[in-house]
Amino acid sequence: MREARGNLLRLAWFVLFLGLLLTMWRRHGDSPLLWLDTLNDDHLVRGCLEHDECRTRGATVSFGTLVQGGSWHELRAAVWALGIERTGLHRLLLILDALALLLIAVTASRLAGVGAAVLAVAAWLALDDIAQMPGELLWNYRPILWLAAITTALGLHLIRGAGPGTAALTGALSAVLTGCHLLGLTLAGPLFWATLWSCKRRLAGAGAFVAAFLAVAAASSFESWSVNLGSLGAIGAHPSGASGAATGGAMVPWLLTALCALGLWLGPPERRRDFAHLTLLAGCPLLTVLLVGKLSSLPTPPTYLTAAFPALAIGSAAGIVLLARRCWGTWRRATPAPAARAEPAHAPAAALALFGMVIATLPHARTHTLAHIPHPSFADIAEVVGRLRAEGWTREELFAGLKGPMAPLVIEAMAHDFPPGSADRRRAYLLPLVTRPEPFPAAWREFGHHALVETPGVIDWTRLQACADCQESECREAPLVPAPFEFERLSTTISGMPDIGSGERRPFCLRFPLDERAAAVNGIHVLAFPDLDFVCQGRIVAVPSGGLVLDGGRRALLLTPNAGGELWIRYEPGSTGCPLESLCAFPPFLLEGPEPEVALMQLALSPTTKIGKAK
Amino acid sequence: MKHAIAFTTWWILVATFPPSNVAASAPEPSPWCLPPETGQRLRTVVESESVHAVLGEAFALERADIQGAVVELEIRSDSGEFAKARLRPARPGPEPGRWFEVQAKESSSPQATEVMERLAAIFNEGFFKNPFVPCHRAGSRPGIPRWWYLLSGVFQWLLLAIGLAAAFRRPPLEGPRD
Repeated sequence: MREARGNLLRLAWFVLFLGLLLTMWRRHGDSPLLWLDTLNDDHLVRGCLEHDECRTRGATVSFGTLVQGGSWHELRAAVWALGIERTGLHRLLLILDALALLLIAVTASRLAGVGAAVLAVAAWLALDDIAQMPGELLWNYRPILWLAAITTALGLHLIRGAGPGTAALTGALSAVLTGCHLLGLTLAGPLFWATLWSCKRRLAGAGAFVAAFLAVAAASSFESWSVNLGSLGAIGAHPSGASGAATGGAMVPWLLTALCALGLWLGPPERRRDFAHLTLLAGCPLLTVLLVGKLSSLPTPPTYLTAAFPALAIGSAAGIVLLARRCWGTWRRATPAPAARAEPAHAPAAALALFGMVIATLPHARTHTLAHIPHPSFADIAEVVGRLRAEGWTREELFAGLKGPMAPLVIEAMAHDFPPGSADRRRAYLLPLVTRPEPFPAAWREFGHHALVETPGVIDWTRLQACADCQESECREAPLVPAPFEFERLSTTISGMPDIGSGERRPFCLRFPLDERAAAVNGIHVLAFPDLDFVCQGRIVAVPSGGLVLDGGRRALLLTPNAGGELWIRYEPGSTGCPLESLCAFPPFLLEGPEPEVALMQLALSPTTKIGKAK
Repeated sequence: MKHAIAFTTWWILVATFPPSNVAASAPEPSPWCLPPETGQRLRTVVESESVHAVLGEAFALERADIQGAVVELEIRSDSGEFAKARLRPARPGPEPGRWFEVQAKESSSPQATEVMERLAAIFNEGFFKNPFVPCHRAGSRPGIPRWWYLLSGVFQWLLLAIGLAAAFRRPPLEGPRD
């Protein structure tokens, strides 16, 4: 009977795991979204695998004084070397996400029963939403989602008297977590304290924790530690964004910490150390992030609290269940000892399985958009690569001829899949379908929420020049060709373009010679800036003779065939219509083609009907 | 748990010994080069309001040139006061907030020296990313050997797998279930 009950419960946990896996798949998608940080990471991994530049450090953090560790890139390089690329790794991480959530549920159930397991999963999912921590992206935040759960559970083992082996394992994993993202340090402190406080053979345990932490940190992230320790004094030298307090939903983690602390008061004596430790594991990251933010005027978005989520979820769920039991007991004027209360044999199993099924079927709003613009996944990109390769596109053509609001990222993501060759002057646009034209043009090909549009162009992108202050004497060639490898610099960085990210504010012009072969095209040719917030809007200031500038430079008509000539577009970085962050999409995006085609492309980009919320 | 201890011990051995061997046999650190993008950025920094504020009315920037991997600066006042400085890549390597270090200074007055030092500080803050790139010689890439990098990745995946399995195990000395 007892064995049958155990089997039933195991089956229920398995159903819950399947439910969580489905939930993660629906929330995070089956392929990661195209993202700058993913490409940066790819770049560093390729730096090692293809250029022998294997650095034990990661990218510079957003505020520019510290660098991330090397663990995330080493983990990625190891699977990449086995042939598992972005989408494959993402799917592996989905399984780890589900296992981590299952671990959170199991750990909570050990503290306060199945009710706590259900609540803990719900709390974690809610926190994940508040932090806007998209697991849809493959970046170095990604491992925190599951690694923090593992270290938190191991911390509870330590608090219940596990030996030096567990301490060493926890120390090593803390170093891996810190090597993936510096936020991991906020958990290392309380985990070490747990070792020192409760580990069986405390000194041996603490020694094993520290030795394992240092060994893994030295082997995987030595350069990062060396740079970071050397630049500690410079933290805050480059403040950016809002400083101090976190953004929306910031009170929720504190509320959950308070609920976690409830367990200290309400929990059975043998569980109080668990709750004390969970409160520490939840409170430490919160306080550290808050204090560092205040002291150094650095921004502290809720994303930075991710490492605390497992402790918050487990502790608050168990605290709520214990509070409910206390209230129930008071209401009944009697508080029977929990152990003495007989539970129906099938009730916990049924509750877990039912919860697993319910959570898997709940609607999940996958964002899949950026500022209401559909975002391509790497699987979409792979399909586009297949299509263009079948048509014989070369890498040089790709750099010069593929256009779109996210073209630099798209090109960076796919360039390595194309063979080098001559730069034939074909033109293709990869457009997000903000509005799907009906009827859908037969010549357009659809990939996810994007369309590939091939249309003739007259601008010769291979002879593009960038001119500081729009002075002819200051013009420099800015060839759209792959740059040589540089650590921390994407290969699509265009020589001669404004210095991305450095706050370049001087106006400049791009000078486009027209393609001689454009003479073969007859009719009116339109150039137009799409109305997209994150695309720097330039102003057309000069067109060849016979051309016409309209709408204050936002649109121009060229008559073809033409006798050549030049087109000048002026940009004012930092001005309205050209926010500095949009500079990362240089060279900027503009539509070009026969009038009906351009009109159709503008329609596809106009937010008449927002789509892309669910895929 | 014995496996975890064994792995950790092995890793401590791996982590402790090879780096010293690698360091002993490694060639000298690669010199740094200034790519063309830095020249453009340098011009922006030189013409920025921060530089004008430091120079004030008294001084003017006479020279800001890139010579190899060195930026040469010279300021001069109407009364003939001057200061010259060479900014070279910081040692042991350029870092965020400390890309340059002043290599040689020549100055006619303490005031000119002070202005030059403040000017040099602006260059350290004026570059978001490393303005230098390593000038690689064959076989002298910075970092660790590729085999080590990959082995480190494999080892960390193993650690994660062991950690996950250990975390699911029932904690020791667990009291009666609620």
